[in-house]
Amino acid sequence: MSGISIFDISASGMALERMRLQIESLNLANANTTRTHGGKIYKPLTVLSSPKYSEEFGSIMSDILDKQNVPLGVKIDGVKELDLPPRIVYNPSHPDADKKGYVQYPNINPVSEMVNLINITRSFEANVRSFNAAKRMMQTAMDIGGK
Amino acid sequence: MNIDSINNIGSIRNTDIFNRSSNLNKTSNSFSEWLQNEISVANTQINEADTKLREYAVGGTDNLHQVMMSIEEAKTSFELIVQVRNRLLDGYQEIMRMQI
Amino acid sequence: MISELSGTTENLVRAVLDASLLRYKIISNNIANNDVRGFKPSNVNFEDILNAELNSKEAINNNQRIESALTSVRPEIVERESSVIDGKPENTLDLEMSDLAKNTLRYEALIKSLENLGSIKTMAITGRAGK
Repeated sequence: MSGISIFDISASGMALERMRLQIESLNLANANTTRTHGGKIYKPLTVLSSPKYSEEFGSIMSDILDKQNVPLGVKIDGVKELDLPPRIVYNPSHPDADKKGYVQYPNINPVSEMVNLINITRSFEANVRSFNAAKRMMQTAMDIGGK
Repeated sequence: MNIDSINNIGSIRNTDIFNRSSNLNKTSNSFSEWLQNEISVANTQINEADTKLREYAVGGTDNLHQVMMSIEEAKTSFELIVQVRNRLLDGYQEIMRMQI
Repeated sequence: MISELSGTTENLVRAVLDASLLRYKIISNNIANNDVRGFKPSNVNFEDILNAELNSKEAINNNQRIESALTSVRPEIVERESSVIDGKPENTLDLEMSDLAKNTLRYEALIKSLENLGSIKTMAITGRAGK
């Protein structure tokens, strides 16, 4: 065994959702940030993810699958800035107003971000349940041969 | 002394309790017949439990409690036989230990 | 029928348990990748294929048929046909949750049943009744 455990899949899911939660919180906190460190408007971030596969044939499943790729969960590919057009608000007294008096705000809609948060929570909980299911299965298997 | 009442003890053999423990229709009071019958009943139940488990495994039935109960039944019947065998063995060994 | 120490029933249940473990990994993977764009969840088919071959009373009690079915039938991983809207698959989390519960239960039920049935053999060998 090359150290792949049955719990890795749900663990990877939990890691992804935790990352998404952090990024989501960051976006929410910066919903009204007109000027960041770099002097530009805050751009909302998104987490890039893709399925993780194993190319190894060392797992138990390889003979069943005839060397198909064994899915191993999800991996985080990175964080990307979303290039969305900014919200324009007319406010000439704002320090970041342009010559015409318009201020650019990040295109972050608190309502849809809240919905995202709910989804992230649901997904995280689902991964936790998956983890617990694996634990139960392993405990039952351990009981083979009498208690 | 009136010992007529003792004669009534013999009629216990034909009462319901003994008849119920045997699946044979005729009143039988032979122990070996009873034991042989129990063995074949247990064997049938074990085979049935085995079949039910196979059916559950391939998804032919989702009646899990039926499977578990069949197994329990078979186990109990077999347990009965094992215990009877153990008692018989104990009795035999005790007799062999007797000094004549 | 349980005259052998490790017989056809054990082989059958072991194969189904293998498929069940694989199914757990696939469900877990579906859940972990639930929010990934373009990801299509998969299913594992095994018991249904076996059942098609062994659907009769004679077949299920025929050890040879079961053994030959076990060598020829393999678990299949199939992508589910799901509707894709704007590159994002429909959220199937609830479906995965119920599949997960079903699968976990079957896994445990098979193990416990096999254990109990096996304890009959143990009784015969040790001459001791009870667990």
